[in-house]
Amino acid sequence: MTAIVSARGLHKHYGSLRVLDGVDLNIEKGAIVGLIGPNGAGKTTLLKALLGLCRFEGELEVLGLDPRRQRHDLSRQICFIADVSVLPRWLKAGQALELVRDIHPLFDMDRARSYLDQTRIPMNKKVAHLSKGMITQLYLALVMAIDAPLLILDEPTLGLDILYRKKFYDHLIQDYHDRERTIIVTTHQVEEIETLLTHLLFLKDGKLVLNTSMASVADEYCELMVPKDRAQAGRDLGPIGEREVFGRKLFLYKGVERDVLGRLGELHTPGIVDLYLALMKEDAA
Amino acid sequence: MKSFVALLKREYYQYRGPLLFTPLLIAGILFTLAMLSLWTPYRLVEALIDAGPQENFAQLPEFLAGQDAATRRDTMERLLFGVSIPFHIGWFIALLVYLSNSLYRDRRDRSLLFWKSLPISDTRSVAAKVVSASLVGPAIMWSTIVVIHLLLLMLLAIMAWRSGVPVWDTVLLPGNPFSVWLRLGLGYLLQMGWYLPLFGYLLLASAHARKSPQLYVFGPLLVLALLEGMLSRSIEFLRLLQVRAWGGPVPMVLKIPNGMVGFPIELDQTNLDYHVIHWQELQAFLLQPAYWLGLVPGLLMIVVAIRACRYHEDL
Repeated sequence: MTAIVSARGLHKHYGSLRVLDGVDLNIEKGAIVGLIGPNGAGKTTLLKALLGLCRFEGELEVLGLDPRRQRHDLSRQICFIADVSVLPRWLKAGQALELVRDIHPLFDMDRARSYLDQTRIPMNKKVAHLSKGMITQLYLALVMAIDAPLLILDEPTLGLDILYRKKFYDHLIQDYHDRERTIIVTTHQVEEIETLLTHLLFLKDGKLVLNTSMASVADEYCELMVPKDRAQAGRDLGPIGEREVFGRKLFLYKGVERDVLGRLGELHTPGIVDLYLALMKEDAA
Repeated sequence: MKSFVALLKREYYQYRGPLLFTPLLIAGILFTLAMLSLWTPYRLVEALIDAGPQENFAQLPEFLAGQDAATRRDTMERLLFGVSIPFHIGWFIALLVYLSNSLYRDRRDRSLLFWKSLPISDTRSVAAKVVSASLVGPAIMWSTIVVIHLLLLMLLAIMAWRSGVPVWDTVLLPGNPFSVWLRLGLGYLLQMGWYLPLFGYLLLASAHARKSPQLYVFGPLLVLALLEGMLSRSIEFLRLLQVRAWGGPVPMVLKIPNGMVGFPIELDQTNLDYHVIHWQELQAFLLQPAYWLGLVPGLLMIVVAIRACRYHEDL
């Protein structure tokens, strides 16, 4: 596998506030990576570092390039989507297509038009006068038509209703299968991307608290649901998380044999949210 | 080249107000005043030309018919250049608004993230703003002035024809609009070089502004002027600003009932006629050391503005 992103000891601070605190990271080609963390964890800063949009300390290579020195070359090979509110409000849909076509060498106008043909976006309307759904569709058409090997999405569906969020991710996954891409995505709506991801990164206070593949999650982590009266037996096996669900206890374990756990109750593979809650809590404790 | 043209288009789409609508608005007002002066006592010619003829616009052909060739040429040139003066003053104000916002507004609404996601270097991005301010904007203004000149000449020709005055010899030939347009065009080119420190300063303020960019533009200037006034009881800094803002080959003086708007600046080796651009003045202006010396801080400030754009931590 080829490393698309390779980071060693990434540090970034604003005054005394550490935003990235020794992040080591490898992202392989073809991965769909979920970068998850609470507000202020350093997700956006990490993405900005990958894009060469902020200063940082440490070693970082993205697509074999140094973002600090080769941002311009890098930006030709990365497609970056922040939330849709960053589309300039004064820009007309037609002008957006024209400008991106003239600026980005990997932009495919036919592909963008084929996306837009399925919408009712008027080409002569300014972004300010489009509905949020239309803005999303326009933004999608623009970025999905850029044939970049690395796609970075920072809260791409922020503020969108569930219908558009679903459409967005449907398009994204379809596009991923059509072309060989690597995708890094941050979102707070973790459950919506759960089935898309191949890798998972949890970031807290600038540190990576989880860096694993989704396949490993199923191997390493296990959820056990037991009646309340058997809770102590569950606790004795050293869970990393515990909560109550419908009057029963739910424990999360890391690296404990499934055979051992199976004797106590029902076993499940944990979802990202369960893992997130447990790991963030564990880390805080 | 294609991407740079796209960046120029972006400036034009985003800042159509200062780049396009300002000259169009001034043209509309001037043309309305010209029409008004045909049927009312309003004296457009007198308003535009300092020490010009007292005749109303409609009577100008008859006035010209009674003058010798030199006076005709002088009056018509002053009229055509006089028409351009409101454009220059409007453009100067539009320029302040445009450049002071140009590196700030995209940061404020976060649309800079969209542009940063595209392969656009900060150098090219800022260069597109400088070219828009120094070439695209003036080219639009120049074209608008040419159109308004043609309309005014057409009106004068109709007036001359109705009064039985020879149109060609009295109005069109003395006006010599081609020479006026050429001198205006060259004047703009030189003026934009003269303004380079202004461009640099505005971009620098815009690149660093965290709130109102106008505050970042005028604040430091006011502080420096006040400091100089308090410490040395002089106004040399203000005079320097005045020379840089109102100096240059392009006339920026407009007559108003109780005086003049604008500040005529006497520069060494030139004897600027603040209403007409003469060929020899353009040449003399080009030989001004102040002209060439101003390019250096202008370019330096632009470079610093580009560096400030490289990493905007507040995005």
